[in-house]
Amino acid sequence: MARRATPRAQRNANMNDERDPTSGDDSRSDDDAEQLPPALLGELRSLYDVTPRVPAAIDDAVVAGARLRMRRHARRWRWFPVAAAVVLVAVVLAPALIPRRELSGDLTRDGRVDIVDALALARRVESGEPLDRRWDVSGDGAVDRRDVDAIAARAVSLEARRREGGR
Amino acid sequence: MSARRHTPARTARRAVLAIALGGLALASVALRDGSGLAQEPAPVERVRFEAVDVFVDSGERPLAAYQFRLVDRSGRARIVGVEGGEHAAFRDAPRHDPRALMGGTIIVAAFDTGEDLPVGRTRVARLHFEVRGERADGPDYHVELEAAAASDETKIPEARIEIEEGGRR
Repeated sequence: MARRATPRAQRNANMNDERDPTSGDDSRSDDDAEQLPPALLGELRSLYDVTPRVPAAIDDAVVAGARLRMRRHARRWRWFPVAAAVVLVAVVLAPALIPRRELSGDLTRDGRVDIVDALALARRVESGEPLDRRWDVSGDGAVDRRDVDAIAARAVSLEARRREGGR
Repeated sequence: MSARRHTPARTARRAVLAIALGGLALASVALRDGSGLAQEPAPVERVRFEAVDVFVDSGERPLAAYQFRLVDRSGRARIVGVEGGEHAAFRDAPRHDPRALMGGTIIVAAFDTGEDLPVGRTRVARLHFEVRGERADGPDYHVELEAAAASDETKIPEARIEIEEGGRR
């Protein structure tokens, strides 16, 4: 006795037919396009395959705006190489151009205060020659033996050496 | 006949008294035996004193001023005294920072404006050190001549400095 298919079984059978891998779903759209009447195909192409046209006035305005912006940008950075060169030259030449601060007590002008500076001042003090006010290291208003002692004390001071960076 | 009452305060006083008496008894026993509370004496570190002579060789030029820096890198030696040199020009104690005493680093300097100055190798100073530890682990002295000048205040670049470690003083 033949059994009658239920509605649910019929629906499943239809779905299986749709998922059939042999049906060629990917190629179907191309095949369909070729199967369309040429007139319809041409109308569809003219409707969707259009390159938008920008009016020349808008195109010119956009280009002009971009050029203006680029000019401003270029103008802003025009002096950058010059400024960089000036800074570089200043950094390189500054030590030579700026007069070196004279170290108090450095009579021999060798960039450090040592016992030879004390010897130099002691000889000048003993000779009685006019003494430079800059040699008043002790700050008492006179250049004398106390300044010699101050320079010598500075020369052997461990604290002064530490401040100078352990030279 | 009246019964004694044991209040908490009385009990506490008795406990404190008992503990104090017990402590005294223990202390007397420990002191009599010479042990217990008496601590072991700490090991005594050996200490010695030594002198370091500093020589400057000024070559053929008369030495009018010198300055050197001496450091003990071992950390075992501490400067306890600074003495002058052998020549009359540098016989007085040289200049140094008093704060260098009891430390391991010192800068020593002296000058003389007279005409009688040493030429060649001369002992310019003697430093005294307190050294801790065994003799085998001695100090590590390093000396650097920072300045040597003639009487016309010109530097003597060819001047050399050296030290000689003396014995126990």
